[in-house]
Parts: sequence; structure tokens; C-alpha cells
Amino acid sequence: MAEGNRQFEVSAVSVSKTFALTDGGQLAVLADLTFSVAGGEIVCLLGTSGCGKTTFLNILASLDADFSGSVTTRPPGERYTTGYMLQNDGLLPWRTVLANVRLGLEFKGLARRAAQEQALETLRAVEMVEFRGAYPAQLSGGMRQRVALARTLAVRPRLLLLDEPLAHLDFVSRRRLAELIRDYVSAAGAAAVVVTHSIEESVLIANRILVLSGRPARLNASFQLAGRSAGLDGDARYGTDGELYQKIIQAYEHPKAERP
Amino acid sequence: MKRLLGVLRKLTILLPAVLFLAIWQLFVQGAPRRQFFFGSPYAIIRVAVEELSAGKILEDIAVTGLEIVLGLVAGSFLGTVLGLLLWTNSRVGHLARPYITIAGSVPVFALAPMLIIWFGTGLLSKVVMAAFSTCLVSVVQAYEGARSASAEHIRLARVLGASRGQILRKIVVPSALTWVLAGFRLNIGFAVIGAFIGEFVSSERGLGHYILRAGGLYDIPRVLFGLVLLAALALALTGALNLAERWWFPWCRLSGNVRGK
Repeated sequence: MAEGNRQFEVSAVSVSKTFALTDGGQLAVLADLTFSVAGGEIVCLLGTSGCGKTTFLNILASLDADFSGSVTTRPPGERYTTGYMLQNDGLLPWRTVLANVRLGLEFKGLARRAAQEQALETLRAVEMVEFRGAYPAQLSGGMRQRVALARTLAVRPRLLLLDEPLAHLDFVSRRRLAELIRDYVSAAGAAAVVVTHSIEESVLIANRILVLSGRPARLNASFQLAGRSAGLDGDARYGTDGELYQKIIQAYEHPKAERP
Repeated sequence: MKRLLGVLRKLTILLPAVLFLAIWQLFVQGAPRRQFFFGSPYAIIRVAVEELSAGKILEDIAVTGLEIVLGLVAGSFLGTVLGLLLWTNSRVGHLARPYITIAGSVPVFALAPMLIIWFGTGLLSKVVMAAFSTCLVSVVQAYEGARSASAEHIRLARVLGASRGQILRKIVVPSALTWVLAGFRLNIGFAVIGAFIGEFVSSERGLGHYILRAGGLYDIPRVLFGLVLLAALALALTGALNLAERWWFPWCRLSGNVRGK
């Protein structure tokens, strides 16, 4: 589905970010973040609200160049498409569902017919094709999230950035959306970075959870969940979900519980 | 039954007007002096029947209507383009702000004699007056509308690889549309005033000319009938705008829900 078949990897190396405040002071938000995400993998950055998760996604999306450290890809200099699902779906109210999903394809310069077909195919995948003519204002929160996901996936991204993709959803929709994301990532060999403040969301979606805590935020613990099927099935390394939750909470409270 | 209730509910909007007309008629009934000063709904209706059956007033309506529509479209379009251009160059936009305020405070009436000299006494000077009356509102609305484009949408477009031109066309312009439409709605009134002032200063045809002539003869019912026609033109244009909005920009008015369909 995505471009190329070689093993793709995106790495953040010692990424730090400081904001200049209006009173002349400085606010360090992120400190020394180092990790890699490989094709086919979903890494979840778990942190409290306002800890700099979205800022980090913006850096990965090349929207913010004002940071120290580096973001590299393997193979080096590889050109890739980024898909970014915003925290608040970010659907354009003046466009129908189909036109919203087509947006990125239009920006890529795809012919209208091809863009239309690709958008329809993606809408089918998220089970929203029957609502293609509706406007965002006519959809429920869950439907909007699915359309936003379709728009993100329609460009066949190699790097997938998801900002709280399962927030405000009921459990069934959350599971379904998590499944869709996991299916895409494994089928396309895309590298996905999800940020969230919800332990449940991270357990549901990720192969690996990285816990961000402190001010400035640092990566303080890592939980490899590879081999888990989507959510709530327990994991040999961490026992039941209840035990895993406890371990994550401990990592928040005692940052050195399990270093990455 | 439901439909009938709906129609009745819609008709209640006319209630204040009917009440006002009834009080007015009662106030001047059997008092010729009051009728001379204030006219009367009955006299206006009588004038309306006379003028419409004579037919000449239709030409005045057409002339003024044309001036209003051309001025409204030209002024709003020009203003919107200017407003968007100001947005694309923030430095020029910043520089232009005080001048927009100054231009906005110029009374159109004061410009009328000059515009007549420049553009003659025909249709063009009235169209320019109407356009001038509407242009600045559109500049401000388009500029502010473009500024109000969601930073999140622009961020998304940038990630998706949009060029600056694409961001302008596909994000900023549609974002500004609700502002532009609101400006257009306001401009209907301003265009009517602009065209009317143009005709008032110098004209041989049109509703402004009709009202001016009737005023000179102290024919209050005709003056008021002219005003009713101007209001009707403004209402018709607002209705046309509502239809166009519903047709071309249905999302502007969306509040319904198709969940579960």
C-alpha cells in the first residue's frame, strides 16, 4: 500500500525543545528524547496532558524545525509521505466526507478520478463509504474520527502520526479504529507514532509504549507489547492488564522503573 | 395539520408590521392634515396600484435594481479579492489597516458629486457609488475571515504537502467564506444606500429619482411607496442570497444529523 518495500525506520535522536516565553524566560518542554520506530511498528508516547506530546509530533511531521537534536530516517534521505491525524479530527466543515478524504490526494496532484477512487477505497476500509456525501456537521464524534483516519490513510503514508486518535470514542469504536490502524500499519509496513494520555488507549493500539514524564518531559520507561493481539488479552511479560496498568503508573511515579 | 401550523408560525413574523400599519391608518383616518404629513397605508396602496398599472415605475425599479446588483457584486468581489491579497502579505496587510479605517469613515454622500463628475450621470456613477459603499466591508470581512482560518487546518495541509497557493485556495478561502457571505448580506443594504444616493444627487431614472421628484411635490405616499420598493429590492436580494447559500454552500446552515441512516 505505501511507497517502497524496504525496511523503513524513523529515529529521533536527543530531541529537545524549548519555548521562548513572552516575559523573556524560557520553558523547556522536551528533553533528550531518543527512540526509533520501524516500519510495521506502532510506538505510543504516553504522557500527561500538556507534557509536549503534540509538540513532539509536530517535530516528527517537520512542522517545527526549531528544536535541538535530529530526526533521521533509514534508509538515509528516504522520501516518504507523512499522515498526521490531528487531535480534534480537523475535518473541513465545507467539504463532504469524500472531499475531506480526497484532500491530501489533491495536494499530491493526483488526477481527480484517481483521487476519487482512492478516497472511496479508504472510506470503504473505515466503513464510512455510505456517508461519503454527508458533511462533518452531520456526523457523530466516532464517525468523524473514522473519516479523519481515512483522510490520514488515503495518502498511503509511510510515517503515520496520530494525536489521540481514539479519544472521545466508545469502547467498540475504539477497538475498531485501533484495529484499522494496526491493519494498515502491518499491511503497509508504515511506522506509526501515537501520542495519548490514556493508558487504555496506548495498550489497545501500541506494539511499544514509551512513558513520557517530568518537566521537561523525558522518556522514562518502555514497555514492549509485541505479540499482543489488540488490547485486553494480557501479556506474558506484564501479566494481566491490571498488572500492566500498575507498572505503567509506577513508571510515571518512579521514572526509573524500566528504562528504555 | 403540522404544515398548517408551520405556515401560521411563519406568518406571525408579519404580525408587528400589520399592527404598525393598522395603528398608522387609524392615526391618520379622517384627518387630512395628518395624512399630508405622514401619508397612510391606504394611500400608499392606492399609489402602488396606480403606478404599477401605469407601468413606468417598473423601469425605475429595473434601473435601480441593476445598479444595486452590479455595484453589490463588483464591490463585494473587489473587496474580497483585496482582503485576501492583504492576508497573503501580512506586512502590506498591517500597513493597510489604518487606511482601511480611514476609507471606511468617508461618508459616501460626500463622494457623490466627485463620482458624478468622474463617471457621468448615467448608470456607471451609481454602480461605482454602490460598489464603493460595499467594497470596504468586503475587504475587512475577507481579511478577518482569512485570518480566522484554523491554524490546525493549515498545519494539516502543510503536512499533506500543500503549496501556499493550495492552502489559500482550499483552506483559507473556504474558511473565509462564512465571513464573506456575512459581509455580502450586510452589503445588500449598503449597495441600496449607495445606488440611492447616486440617483439622489443626479439622475433621470430610478427609484432615487422617483423619491426625489415625489419629495419635491410633497407627495408623501409616493415617497413612501418608493421606499417600500427599495426595501422590497433589498428583501428580494436577501432572499436570492439565502437561496444561493442553501444551494451552493449547504454546510453553512447545517445543524441536522444523519446518524443511524
